[in-house]
Amino acid sequence: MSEVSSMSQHSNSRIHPKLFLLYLSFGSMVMLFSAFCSALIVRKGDIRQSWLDTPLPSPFLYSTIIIIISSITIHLAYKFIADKKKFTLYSLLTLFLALVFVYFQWMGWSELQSKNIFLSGNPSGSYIYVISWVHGLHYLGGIVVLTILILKFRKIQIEFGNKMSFNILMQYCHFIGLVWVFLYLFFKFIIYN
Amino acid sequence: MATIAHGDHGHHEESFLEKYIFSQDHKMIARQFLFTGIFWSLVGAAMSVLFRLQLGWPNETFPFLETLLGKWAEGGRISNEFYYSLVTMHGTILVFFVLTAGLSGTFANLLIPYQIGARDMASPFMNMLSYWFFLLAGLLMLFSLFLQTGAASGGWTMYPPLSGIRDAKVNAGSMWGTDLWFFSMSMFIVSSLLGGLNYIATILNLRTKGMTMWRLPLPVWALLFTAILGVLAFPPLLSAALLLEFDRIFDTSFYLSDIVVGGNLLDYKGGSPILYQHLFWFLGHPEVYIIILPAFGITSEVLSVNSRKPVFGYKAMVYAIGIIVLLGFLVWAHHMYMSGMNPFLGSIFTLFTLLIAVPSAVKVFNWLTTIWKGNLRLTPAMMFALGFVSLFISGGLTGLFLGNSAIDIPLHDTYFVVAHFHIVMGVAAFFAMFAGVYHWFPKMFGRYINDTLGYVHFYATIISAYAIFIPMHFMLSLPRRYYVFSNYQTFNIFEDVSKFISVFAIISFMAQILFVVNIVYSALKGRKFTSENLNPWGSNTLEWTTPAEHLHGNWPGEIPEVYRWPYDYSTGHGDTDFRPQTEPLQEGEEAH
Repeated sequence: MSEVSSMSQHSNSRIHPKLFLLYLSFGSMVMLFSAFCSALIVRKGDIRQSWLDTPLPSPFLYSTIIIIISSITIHLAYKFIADKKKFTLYSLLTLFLALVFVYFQWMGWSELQSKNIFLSGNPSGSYIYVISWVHGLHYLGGIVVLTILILKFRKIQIEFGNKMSFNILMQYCHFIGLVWVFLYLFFKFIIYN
Repeated sequence: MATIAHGDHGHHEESFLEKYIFSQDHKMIARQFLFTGIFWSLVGAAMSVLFRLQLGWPNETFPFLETLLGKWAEGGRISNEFYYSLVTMHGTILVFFVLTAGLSGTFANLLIPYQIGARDMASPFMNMLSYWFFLLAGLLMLFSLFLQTGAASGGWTMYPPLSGIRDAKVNAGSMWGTDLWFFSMSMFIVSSLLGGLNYIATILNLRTKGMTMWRLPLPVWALLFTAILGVLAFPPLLSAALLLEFDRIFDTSFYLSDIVVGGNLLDYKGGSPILYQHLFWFLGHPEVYIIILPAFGITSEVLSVNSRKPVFGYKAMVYAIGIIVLLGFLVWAHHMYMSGMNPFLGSIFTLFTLLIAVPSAVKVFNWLTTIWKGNLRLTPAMMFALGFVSLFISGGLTGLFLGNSAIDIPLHDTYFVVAHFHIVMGVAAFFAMFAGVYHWFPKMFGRYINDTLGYVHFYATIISAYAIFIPMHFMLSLPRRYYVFSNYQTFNIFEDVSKFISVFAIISFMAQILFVVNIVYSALKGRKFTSENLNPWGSNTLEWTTPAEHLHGNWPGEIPEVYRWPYDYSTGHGDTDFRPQTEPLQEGEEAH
C-alpha cells in the first residue's frame, strides 16, 4: 500500500466509500433475514407438516423498546462527538442499553425453555431461537465495535476518520435495531399471532 | 464529485509477506485468485477423469487406482461411495471454487480498478480478506477429502434429507465430510460477500474523471451485475446452510420429518425438505449467471478488440445483462419441476425461464454482428472468445427444452441435462476465462504467453469438449447418477459411447495440463512485456495506459482522464484504428 497513500483518487460520490460499503451490506443482511422469514412463512403454511402454536416470549417486547431507545442514545453520542463529556455519557448509556437488550433476549429464550419449547422441538419454536440468535450475533458485532471505539476515543482527539468510524457504527446500529423491530412485529402479528 | 486520498498507510518498503502473501494490491490478489482457481480446477478435473474411468470401463480394474486411493479403490475399482464423493466434490469445486471465485475473483480484481481508473479497490483490506476466506474455504474442503469417513457425497446441491442426517450409516461422508462441506461453503459465502460489496462500491465510487457509467468497458458492467447478484443471492444460501447444520448438529427439524434409518424412526418431526430446495435454488440459479456474466463481459471485450470493430449494441448489451439479472431471480423453481409443484406455478416459472432466451439472444446477435466483416485477428484469446460464443449457442439451445416444465420432467436427471449445463455454463465459462487469461496475460505477469501452445490448447479443448458433450445429448434415456449403468441391459447400448466420452475427457484434461505448463513457463521465461509497446493489442481501455511493471496505485502520477467510450475502433479518425479512452475527441468526431 505504500505508494498509494499519497496518491489522489477521484470519487464519483458524496458518500464515503466505506459508508457506501455499509449501505450495500444492508442489502445482503436484508436478504439473509428475508430468507429466514420467507422460510418461516412457507413452513407455517405447509399443511402437510405439523405446526404447534408457540407463544412469543414476553421479554422480547422489552428488548424491542430497549433497542429503539439505544438507537436514540447512539445518535446523541454521534451528535455530541466533539464534546467528550456528552459523547462519553451517551455512548456508555448506549453500551449499557445494548447489554440490557441482550439480557432481555436471554430472558426470552429462558421463558421459551420454561414452557418446554426447545431448539430441537417443533420448527415453530426452533425458528424463534435461530432467527433471534442470528440477529443477536449481528448485534454483538456492534457491541464489540462500540466498546473498542469508546476505549479508543478516551485517549485521542476526534478527527474526520474517527468520526466516520462512529458514523458507520451508528448507522449499523440503527439498521440492526430496525431489523429487530421488524422481526418482532413479524413474529407478533404474522407468525405467532 | 470529490478527490480523496486513498489508503492510510505510511510510505515503507513492502516485505515479502506484504507483497506476495498478505497483499492488498488488487493485481496481486487477482493472481492469488487465479493460481488458487487453477489448483482447484486441476483437482476438480482430475476427479472427473477418475469417475469417467468408472463410467467408461465400469467392469474393468485399474491397479494404479488402489495405489493412489487406497481403500476407496480396492481391487483397482472405485467404490460406489467414493464415486458419489467424487461427483459431489467435482460439482462443488468447479461451480464455486473455480467458475465463481477463480473467474470473478481473478478478473474483478484485475480489471475493475484498472478499467475504471482507480488506484485500488474501495477497501483493499476487505479485498485481501475476501481472498483469505476463499483460501480457508478451500483448505477446509481439501481437508475433507482426507477424512477416514470420506468427503461429502450427497450431491453438490446437498439436498436433505440425505445431507441432513449425521449418521455414518446413511452414506460416505455423511458425518464430518458434510459438516466440513457446509463450514467451507459458509467461509466461501463470506468471501464472496466481501468481494462483491467491494466491487460494487469501487465501480460506483472510484471511477476516474470522465468515466461515466456509459463509458464503462463491458467487463466492468458484467462484473458489477455479477457482484449485485452475489450480494443478494448468497445470503439465502447461508441461511439454508445454517438451518441444515442445525438439523444435523442440534437435531432441529427444519428440513427433516419422519426419517427411518436402519429400521429406526429418527426423532425428527415437522420439517420440509422442499423448503431447502427453494432456499438453495434462490442462490443456485443466480449462481449460473454469477458464473456466466463475467464470461459475457470478457468475451465482448476480446471480440471487439480483435475484430477492430466497436461492440455492436453496447447499451443493448448492458440492458440485456440487467434483464438477465432481474429474470435470474424469478426462475429458481425451474430446477424443481419434479418436486411436485403445482403445474400452474410450473407454467409461470416456465414463462420467466423462456423469457431469458430473449436477452441472451440479443447478446449472441450482438457478438456475431460485432465480428461481422471485422478485421479479425485470430489470437488464442480471440479463438477462445469465438469458442465461447459457439458453446453458448450450443448449450443455450438445449436450455429451451429444459426450461419448459412439460419437457423437463421426462428429461430430468438424464445425461441430456449433464450435457446442457456443462456446455452452457461450464465449458463456455472456461473458454471465456481462457480468453481473459490469454488477453490480459502481459498485464498480469509482465510477459507474453506462448501462442503456439495456446492454439494447441484451444483446438484440443474445443474438440474434446464437443466430443464429450454432444454424444451426451443422445443419452437422454440414461439416468445421470448411476454408478454402473451397464448393470441394466437396457442401457448397454451406451457402453461404447461412454468409452468414447471418457477418452476425450482424458484428452481434455491433458490439454489443461498443457495450459498450466504454458502459464508457468511463459510467466517465468516468456517474451518480456516492455514499456516500448504498452498496448500490444491496440486496445482502448485504461489498463493499457499503466506502466509495464506493477506499480501499487497503478499510475505513477495523476490518473488519466477519460473522454470517450471504450469501443472506438476503426472510426476513420487518426492514424491508427483505435482511439484510447484517454484521447480527447478530435474536431469533427462525435462522441458515441
